[in-house]
Amino acid sequence: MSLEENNLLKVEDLRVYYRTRSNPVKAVDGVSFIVKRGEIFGVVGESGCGKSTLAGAILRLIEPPAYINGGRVLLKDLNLLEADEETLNKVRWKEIALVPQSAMNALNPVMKIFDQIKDVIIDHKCNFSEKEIREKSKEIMDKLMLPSYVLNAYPCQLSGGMRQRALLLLSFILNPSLVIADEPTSAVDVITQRKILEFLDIQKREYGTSIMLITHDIAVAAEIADRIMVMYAGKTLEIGDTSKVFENPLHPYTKALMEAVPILGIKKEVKGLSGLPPDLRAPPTGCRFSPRCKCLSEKCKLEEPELLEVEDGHFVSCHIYK
Amino acid sequence: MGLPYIVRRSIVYVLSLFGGLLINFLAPRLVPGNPLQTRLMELQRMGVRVAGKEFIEKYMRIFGLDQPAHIQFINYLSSIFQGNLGVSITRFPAEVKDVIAAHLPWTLGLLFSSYFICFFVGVILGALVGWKSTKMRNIVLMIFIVLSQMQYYTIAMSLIYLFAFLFPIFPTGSAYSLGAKYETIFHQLADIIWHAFLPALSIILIGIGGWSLAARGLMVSVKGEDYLLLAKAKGLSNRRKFLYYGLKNTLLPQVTDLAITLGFVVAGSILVEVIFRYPGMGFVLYRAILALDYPLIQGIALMYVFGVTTAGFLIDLTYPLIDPRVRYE
Amino acid sequence: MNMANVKYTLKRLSINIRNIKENSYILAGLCLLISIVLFAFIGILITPYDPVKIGSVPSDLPPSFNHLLGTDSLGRDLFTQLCFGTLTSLQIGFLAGIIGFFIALIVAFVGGYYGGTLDSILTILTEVFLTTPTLVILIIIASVVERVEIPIMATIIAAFAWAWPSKTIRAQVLSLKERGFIYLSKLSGLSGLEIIFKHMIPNILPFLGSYFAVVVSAAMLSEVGLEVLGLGPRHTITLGMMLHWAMMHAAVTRNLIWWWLPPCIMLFLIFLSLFLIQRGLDIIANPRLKGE
Repeated sequence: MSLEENNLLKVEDLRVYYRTRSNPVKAVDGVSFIVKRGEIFGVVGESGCGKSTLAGAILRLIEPPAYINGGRVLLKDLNLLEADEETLNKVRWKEIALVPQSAMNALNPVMKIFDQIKDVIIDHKCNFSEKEIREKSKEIMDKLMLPSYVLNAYPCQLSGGMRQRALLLLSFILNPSLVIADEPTSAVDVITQRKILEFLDIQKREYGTSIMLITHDIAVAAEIADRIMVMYAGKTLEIGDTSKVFENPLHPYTKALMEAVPILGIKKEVKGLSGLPPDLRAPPTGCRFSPRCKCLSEKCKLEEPELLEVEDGHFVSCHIYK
Repeated sequence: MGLPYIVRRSIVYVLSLFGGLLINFLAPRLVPGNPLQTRLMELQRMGVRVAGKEFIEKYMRIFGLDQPAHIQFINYLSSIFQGNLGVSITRFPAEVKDVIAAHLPWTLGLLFSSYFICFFVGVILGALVGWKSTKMRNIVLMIFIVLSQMQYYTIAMSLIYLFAFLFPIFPTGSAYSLGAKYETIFHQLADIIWHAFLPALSIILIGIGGWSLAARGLMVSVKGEDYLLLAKAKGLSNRRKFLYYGLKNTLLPQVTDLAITLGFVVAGSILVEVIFRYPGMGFVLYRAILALDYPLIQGIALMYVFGVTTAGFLIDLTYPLIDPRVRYE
Repeated sequence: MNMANVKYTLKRLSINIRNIKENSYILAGLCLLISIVLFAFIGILITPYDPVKIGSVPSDLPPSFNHLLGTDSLGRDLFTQLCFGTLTSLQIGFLAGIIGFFIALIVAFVGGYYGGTLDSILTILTEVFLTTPTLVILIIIASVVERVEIPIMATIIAAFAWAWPSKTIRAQVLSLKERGFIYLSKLSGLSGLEIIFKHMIPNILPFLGSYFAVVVSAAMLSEVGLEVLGLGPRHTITLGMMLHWAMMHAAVTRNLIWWWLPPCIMLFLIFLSLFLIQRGLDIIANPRLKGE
């Protein structure tokens, strides 16, 4: 069952739960979306909505107490959730790479950065000479504004921002089709943030790399994402082209997110959203957003809304739109 | 690692050496009566040829026993620094330092080989169990943990009983066969190894348990680190993940423990040498104790103190060089 | 010492006792230790022989009804030696452990609580004692002491056994100092000693118990080490001395297994019981360890 030419990754009804002593936490509960070739796909949501779990699940990095409870992750013909370890290892990093959320500890503290680049190249059987590796690394490092001594340094010698960028370098070195960037800008200052976002944009344009940009900061997504997906409490609420979603937010939650972001230069009332995200061990029946939603119908509390295409390429999961 | 660390370790080192010297100096003097002289009188009474008067006079000169205490101490220190550790009573006129020099290589050989083998085998075993906990691996670990609870004398004696007496595969003692003529150097080497096998095994069997337990705990926590998750995401081979991401991070922090447990293992090596009559410094020390050969006792004891504290000091100094996390703090 | 304090201490004590009952490690360790002591005690009561007097019985006899473990080459009954030796060894070990533990407590609390240069000096002192190999120094001292008797031996051993627990207890004191209730106690004007005794110590009782077992273990190791080398008390018998005599008379190669094996086993059991107690107290102190 192949995908359309333009589609790179298709996630169908993915469920990832965490075992607890009581009910399992339904961190990702039936999420479906498509990432196209050469696009930046933003995944936006508040902390705890399941974005990072989603990222880990795609590469099957889920470890106990988390477990995958269903769904498919299709990369071309291959269902990553059912592939054997050997095939999966070939896919990892070469086709899909991951820039993890916390850079502080993601690099091996006892290996030089260069060696950590070299080992993934060797293990994926790409026959590059040391010189070639250094050249390719320098190329990317220039775009990230990383000084050349970084290659021969140990992670503890680098600042947090440099480590984050080193991770980016690492993830792009094999020229994968898809890079999943989990909050690449959260732990760094605004200047580094800008550099990173520019870099991601350049990679997309020059190499056609797709990027799944996970962030809680909707402004960051607005900057470079082509399409955007809004997640909440383990569910997808809205998917669509960035411009369309921003001009015409369909879901009440998306609207609330827009209203919560202050805009430089415009004096507007910044409204927050009352209430808290639900306990995912016992999520509310019906629409998960209903406890905090302003426009409620009886149906919202009983039935979970489906993801429907309201306008071209713009999906929403809300009972308002039927 | 900065200057304060080096300064502090150096102070501790110097003080330890000084303390050893001080105790060596004070011990015979604080006890009522001069044990050295008492001993010499005893020997003379027993008719042992100890060249009586000249010997005592030489000692009076060396120790300056006729001078005030602090002068004596300074004389003592200066003679130590010149490498003069005195003359042995039982092996008169052999000088203590020559006796030590003759037997030191055996102790060093035994200690070094056993200590390092037990460190590496122990850490690798523990790392393997921590990495993937199979039934077989856990059983092996359990065996070594139980073994480590025994003491050196128990294991040494049991090994002799089992493998040198009941099933005489190995010799019951000594470092080499007396009066043997060797065809080649390999034969000589083989004989030495054959003799050293059980003593080394005693030291190794006890040591593995401790290292394995610590290594397992460390590996378990390393497995939960972010960089191991990234290693998995990179699709690296299992071998590479285990060796470079797991084992390396487990092995390095334990190197400092080598300095800490050295004192304990050295004490054990003395017991092992004694039980196997292995002609290292420990065995000579034992014989010196039995004969109350004070110069020899103190000379060898001092040698041990010097060796252990210096080795520990060197390990503390070189560890930052191999662990980047400490080097660049 | 008012009623509130007494009630508080009693409550903590009862919690600890309840923990002890639930904790199988400690139970096993204590049972083992108590059985060992009982065994030795009963043995002493029923045996007619003298453990030390040379030639009191024929030598090198194999085990029989009269001599449960046979006799040694010096003409002494081995079973008697085992029983007396066990008690004496334990005596020395515990005595040294108690003395050493007290020294460790004082050094750790004074240094850890009051800090400053005093603490620096004490820490360096502790590290000096840690780096020097204990057995060797003990050998130097013990070899010049003419009559090695139990209290002397215990004191000498204690003089070097305090370093390691002192370091770990001090670490505990330091982390306790940061805790809120200690800070409050200081603010409410309690004196240092009061804080130490009423607030700090009760909170780390399981840790202290665990370290105490470790000190006794270490003391016994040093003790046996010295004795095997012949530096033990000469006019009484200990397990280490039994091994010393056994070695002097080549008991292993003469197949006199009843001479050298029982003291080894007894020592193993003693160390095992101490280890179990220590591990059990560790688990109470640090419940995270329970999973292992």
